[in-house]
Amino acid sequence: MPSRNARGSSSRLDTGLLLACCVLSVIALVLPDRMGEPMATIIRRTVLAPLLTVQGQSETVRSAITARDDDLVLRGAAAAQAATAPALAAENDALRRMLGLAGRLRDGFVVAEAFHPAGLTDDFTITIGAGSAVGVHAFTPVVTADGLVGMVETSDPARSVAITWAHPDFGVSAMSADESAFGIVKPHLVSGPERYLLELRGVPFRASLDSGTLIVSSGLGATYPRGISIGTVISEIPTTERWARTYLLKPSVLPSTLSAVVLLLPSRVAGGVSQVWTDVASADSAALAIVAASDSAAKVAALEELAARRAVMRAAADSARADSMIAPLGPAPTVQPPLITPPIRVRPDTPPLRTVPPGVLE
Amino acid sequence: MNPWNVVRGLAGFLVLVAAHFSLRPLLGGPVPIDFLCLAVLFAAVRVRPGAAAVIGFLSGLGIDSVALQGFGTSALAFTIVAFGASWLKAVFFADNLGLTALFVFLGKWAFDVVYVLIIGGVPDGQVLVQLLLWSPLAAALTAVVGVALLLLARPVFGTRRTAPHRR
Repeated sequence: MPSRNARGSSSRLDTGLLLACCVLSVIALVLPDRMGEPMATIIRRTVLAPLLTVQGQSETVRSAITARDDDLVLRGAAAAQAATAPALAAENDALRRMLGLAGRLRDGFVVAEAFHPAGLTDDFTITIGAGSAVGVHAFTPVVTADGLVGMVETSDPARSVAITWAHPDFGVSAMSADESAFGIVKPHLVSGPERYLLELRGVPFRASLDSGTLIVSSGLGATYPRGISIGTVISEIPTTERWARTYLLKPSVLPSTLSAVVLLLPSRVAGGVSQVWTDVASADSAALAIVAASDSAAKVAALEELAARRAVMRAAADSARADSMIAPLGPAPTVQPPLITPPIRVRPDTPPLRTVPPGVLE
Repeated sequence: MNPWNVVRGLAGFLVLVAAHFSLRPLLGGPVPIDFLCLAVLFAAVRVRPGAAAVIGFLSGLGIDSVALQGFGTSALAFTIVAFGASWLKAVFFADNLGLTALFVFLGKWAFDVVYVLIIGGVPDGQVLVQLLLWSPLAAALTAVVGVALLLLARPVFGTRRTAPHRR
């Protein structure tokens, strides 16, 4: 067991070392940077050099891991964008059809963006980016290339608010496309998904409509011109009315997917829109024109590719012929097949080639 | 002191110092594990307080040399913490996991308190947040790692059968 003197000297030594270390630390603390930095540099370049090298490599690895995470995030974003591609294609399709509608209407309309306000009470209204400054007023019909959307309820100079066909206040006088039945189209006021369907009410009992019959606006009343597509008949709804029929309709337009709408100005309403929605031949003229244009461009590209292939094959055949003329007695020249070979196209209705005569295998 | 104990202690210290410069940057995160604090504390409990103060001073000086400012801050903080750890260990401490965790937690927290108060690099409004939130979190994580190390490699990091304390 150590003696009291030995323990006392050890304790004094400990205290002395503590004081020395503290004093040295404080001196290092109060040293000006121009004196402290050289000491730090010496430590970094000698004792700590291997450790700092390892630290740098670890940080590099960490950066690589983080960069990979970022890469994965980017890939996810790209995948999300790819997932939205169908929506873009659908929007493109809608805009093309809108172009076709504009071509058929010719004049008396305004094309505007449709916004969907987020709100529990605003499910059946849309905000439109056009207002009284361009002639849009209350009761202006709102349509798309597919059919009727609703009508403007209030109008500001730059914006308007429109009710859609699902709004409880909506109503339009309607008829079948062949004008055999007339009635009033109102929203189907039930709960659940069927809330987004329409009803054709008050159809005379003698007029029976088949499923799939197109219903258009009849033009009775001052708001909607005759001939705007409203929806198609799904089925008849049983009611207590004995003298009239009510039909459930599938709407032509889904307001939730709208991005652009057409507002029919009074001049267009007065002029009528007959045959714009019902004439199948002219329905998608603009879209067909665009598709035809893209097809013709593809056709030109295909013809150019075919011409290039033929040129390559012709050049190969010419060189082979020239070689055979120069050395007619030599060995037959090897003719390399063209690098680009035309694909073998088989019509779907072409019967398969048969090498075995019919009846042999049977 | 038993030469084998010296070798064990030195190996443990070097492993933890290496982990501080290799594993800590790799783990990253807002609450880093202070392997150097663990190394100093585990070394401090094996030696006399004076030697612990020297170990703390030199370790802190190494950290200060790579810091942008406050050369000597870590040295002073580690000197105080290491001396206190060694003195406390000699007075109170038993080879107990719970007490070791508390010991590491308090040691790391004390280091952060001394460091933050001396260097004053943290904005005024953030001092309390740093000392009462982030520092305890880092201390707790460091304590957990310290206990895990003791469980995994008690012969290297444990203090049982250490010559000076048995006498």
